[in-house]
Amino acid sequence: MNGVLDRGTGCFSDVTVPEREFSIRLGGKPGPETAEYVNQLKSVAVCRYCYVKLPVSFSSSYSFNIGPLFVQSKALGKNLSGCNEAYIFAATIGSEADRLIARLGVSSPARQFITDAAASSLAEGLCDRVNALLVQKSCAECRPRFSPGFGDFPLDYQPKLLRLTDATKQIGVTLTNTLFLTPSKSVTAIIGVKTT
Amino acid sequence: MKITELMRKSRIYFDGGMGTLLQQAGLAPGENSAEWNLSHPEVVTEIHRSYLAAGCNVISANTFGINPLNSDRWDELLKAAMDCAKKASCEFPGSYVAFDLGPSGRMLEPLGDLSFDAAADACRKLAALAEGCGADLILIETMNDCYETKAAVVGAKEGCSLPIFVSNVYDGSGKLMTGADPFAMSAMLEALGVDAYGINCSLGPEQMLPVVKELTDISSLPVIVVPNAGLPRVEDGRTVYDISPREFANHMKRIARLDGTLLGGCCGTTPEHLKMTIEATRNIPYHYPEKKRRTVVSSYTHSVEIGNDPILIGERINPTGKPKLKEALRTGNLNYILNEGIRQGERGVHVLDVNVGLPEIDEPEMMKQCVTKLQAVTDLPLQIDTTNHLALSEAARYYNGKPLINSVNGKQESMDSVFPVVKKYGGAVIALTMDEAGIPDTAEGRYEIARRITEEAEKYGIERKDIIADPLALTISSNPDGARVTLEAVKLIKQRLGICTSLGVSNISFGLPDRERINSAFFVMALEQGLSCAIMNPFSEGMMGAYHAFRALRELDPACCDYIASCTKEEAGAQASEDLSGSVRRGLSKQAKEQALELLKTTSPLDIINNHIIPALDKIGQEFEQKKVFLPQLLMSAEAASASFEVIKGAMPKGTADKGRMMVLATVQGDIHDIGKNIVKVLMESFGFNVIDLGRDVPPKKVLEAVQKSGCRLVGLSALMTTTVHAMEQTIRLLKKNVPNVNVVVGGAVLTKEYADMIGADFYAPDAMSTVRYSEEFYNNADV
Repeated sequence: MNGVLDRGTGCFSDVTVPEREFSIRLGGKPGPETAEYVNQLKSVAVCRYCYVKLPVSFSSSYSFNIGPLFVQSKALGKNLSGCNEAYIFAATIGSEADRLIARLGVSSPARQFITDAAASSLAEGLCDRVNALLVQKSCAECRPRFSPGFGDFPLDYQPKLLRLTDATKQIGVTLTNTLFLTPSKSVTAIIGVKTT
Repeated sequence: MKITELMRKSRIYFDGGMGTLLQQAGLAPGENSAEWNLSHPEVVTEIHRSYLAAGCNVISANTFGINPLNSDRWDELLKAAMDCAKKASCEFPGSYVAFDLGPSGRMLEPLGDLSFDAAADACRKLAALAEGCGADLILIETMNDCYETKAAVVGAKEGCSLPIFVSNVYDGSGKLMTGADPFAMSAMLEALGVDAYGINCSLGPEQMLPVVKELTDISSLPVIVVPNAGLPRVEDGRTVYDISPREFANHMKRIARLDGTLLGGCCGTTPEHLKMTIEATRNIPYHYPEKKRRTVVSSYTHSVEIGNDPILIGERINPTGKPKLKEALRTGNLNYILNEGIRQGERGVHVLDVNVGLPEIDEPEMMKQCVTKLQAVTDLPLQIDTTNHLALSEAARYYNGKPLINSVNGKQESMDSVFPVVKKYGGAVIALTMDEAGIPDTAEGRYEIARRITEEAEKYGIERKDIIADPLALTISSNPDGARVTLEAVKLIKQRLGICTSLGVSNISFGLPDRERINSAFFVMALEQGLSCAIMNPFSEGMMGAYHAFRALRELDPACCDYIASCTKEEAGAQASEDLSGSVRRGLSKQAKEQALELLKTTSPLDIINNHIIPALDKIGQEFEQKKVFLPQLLMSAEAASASFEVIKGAMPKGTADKGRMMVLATVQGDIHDIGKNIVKVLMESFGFNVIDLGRDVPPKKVLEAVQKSGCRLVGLSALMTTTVHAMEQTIRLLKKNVPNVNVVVGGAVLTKEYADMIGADFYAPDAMSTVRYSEEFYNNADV
């Protein structure tokens, strides 16, 4: 058996920018003029995701396997403690959003800043939707999602997460030499599932 | 028989999925399938055999994902894969082995960090070794990015002389992941000289039909169609695909009926899928596609057809007669150029001319920068306009798509130099009807040169559909019959050669007053003779009016929709503001500009800056620090201030610009985030500093060079991630070692005061405003 419990890919056409995220990044409540920039962003964003579900087994509180992936992390270990399965997902709002942000940098840094904040927030909104979808699919208790860069779970795991989810082929997410995800508004995350 | 000969006569069948079958044989999720060439060669060879036994002509070696960029053992894996494939192929005489070249898993610049040359070079190595191992063709497949596809084709051609087949992944909306539609891919791939191209993966045969239809309509080459066996789902821990061999074969029948299609299967297909497909389609007639004669150019998203509907080429990126552009080129202010490109696009041009020919700059380097940076912000196809051979080949190489090349002419030296570049990188080329003897004064003479150029082009295999003749508009102020001769030449060239034509329309009026009136009239006259494209100024109301009117009158504009749309005026729509200070505070750029112009009539530039702009910015800066206003408002004010600065600088006598207060600014090596840095830049400039912006991903050496060259003692460095902040430390160390009195300000999400102290920075700036305050203090205290 190859260990994969479930796999899927899809896209959402109606993701909204979460107001709270957007306000935090702007440093204040978004004013009425931001609506135009948000709409422009949404017209070029393509929200996609892909996921894989794998079995989880622990050898200690901070060493465990997610499918064939061996992880050592106290923080993630704590998040996943008690779980026997986990989803790994990757999501992106696409490369056109990056181009829009680059284009705005030429003519209006203010607009660029606002659009960039909206784009990061939109990516979070997309993750919220994917998270909700996977929780529903699992019909079980799920943990809060956990990404590389949190606590002692370093970015070095990104290549393996992309491989396991087949994110490059499914949704076009790649990695630079310095472990940035590209397109830049992309996220990978793990959601622990406890079915027992 | 070579595979390219075979496909002239009969349909070719590629094999089916490899990954799925390997998974069934025990390949673990996330495990590299190429490793099995070494660990389980018998399994791989057996899979190849089963496809050949099913009737496939071509097997793809298990080399997908092997790339020098990803592994040091790439050559070992490649040889093992080719061994397995050749072993099976030997048992089936007449079969072919394709080297399967998949994506590198990295994104190319400027969106990612992989350079075009690095990607192409990797493919060159792969193709060369594959040919050495006996591959019969290179199959570049599952590419979902236009630029990486080009790098792969260019690299493969540099590495071997095998036939090259290319297949891309299109999603449900009929485009590649990075936005290219089938027309764009078709234009670029045919121009690059591949032997067949098409679509694979991601979709089942039925979902692929719309894209396949589009491709077969326009392609002059066979179209590759390699669908998935439907959509995957996981059942009892196994991945299964939902289309059975019989259903798959049925769908493939429809595709086989579209002319010139080559068939295969991708993820989820098995030898059974291919066997039934071959049985079901074997007797459906196959014809090699007819050559299509469309003249097209393309960008990374779409193609522009040059034919009956006139094409506008925006001429504004050209230093001749434009002091501001010349200045921008000299100082490396690419933003100015990018802005010109974006603004022309907003006026409705279809292609942008790019000319950066200035004697005192490095034209090839500047051309490469402009082409790649323009393509990062606009998706219009570009016209590469240069007489410098190196600039032409640089631009053509790094261009993402099929470019328009301006120009070649009838001189042997020109043709010898330009045509090889066009042949290698693809392109449509403007042919000026002049030669060693000059410009003929008769239409017949100009037609003759056009004819000679097309014949010479054909020797290189460049078809006449890719030659666009420009019979040259000479000014009527010194050539009274200038218009008549040019117009006749357009007509003759169209009638006798059947190729497209182009003109630099405004040349007709050089030396006369009110040039727009003559240009517009001449434009219509030329369009009436069949002019295909015009290099013109889209900000000229007369020219745009003539263009829209002509289209409406010539039934090219159904219901005159475009014409009507061009008539609606944009409203200015902003609340009025009392004065310049107010406009700056409220972030109203347009008004700030107007008010600055007005003030210049009564006030000196320096007074305007010190008494109106800076105090307003200061006030809003304080409000930002007190958290009464936030970054967006601060930025809009900074923009309004910059807008008024632009106007004021023009009025200042040379040399009074405050050169003393400078900053060298960069995002460090390995880091591609620049928004924070851009915010610092805007704010610093609006407060009157001269910022030398080195961009992002800047090596320490380059920062040092900029500091030494400019004599600037203040450096700002930005980094966002833990993985790149060490580059900041290296940069600081290098600077401190070589420029002892340098001061470094650092900022970025990953930094803290403690870390900044640790790496030797002089100041940690938690935000852009504090960078400004520190810099002001620095220059106030320093001996400037």
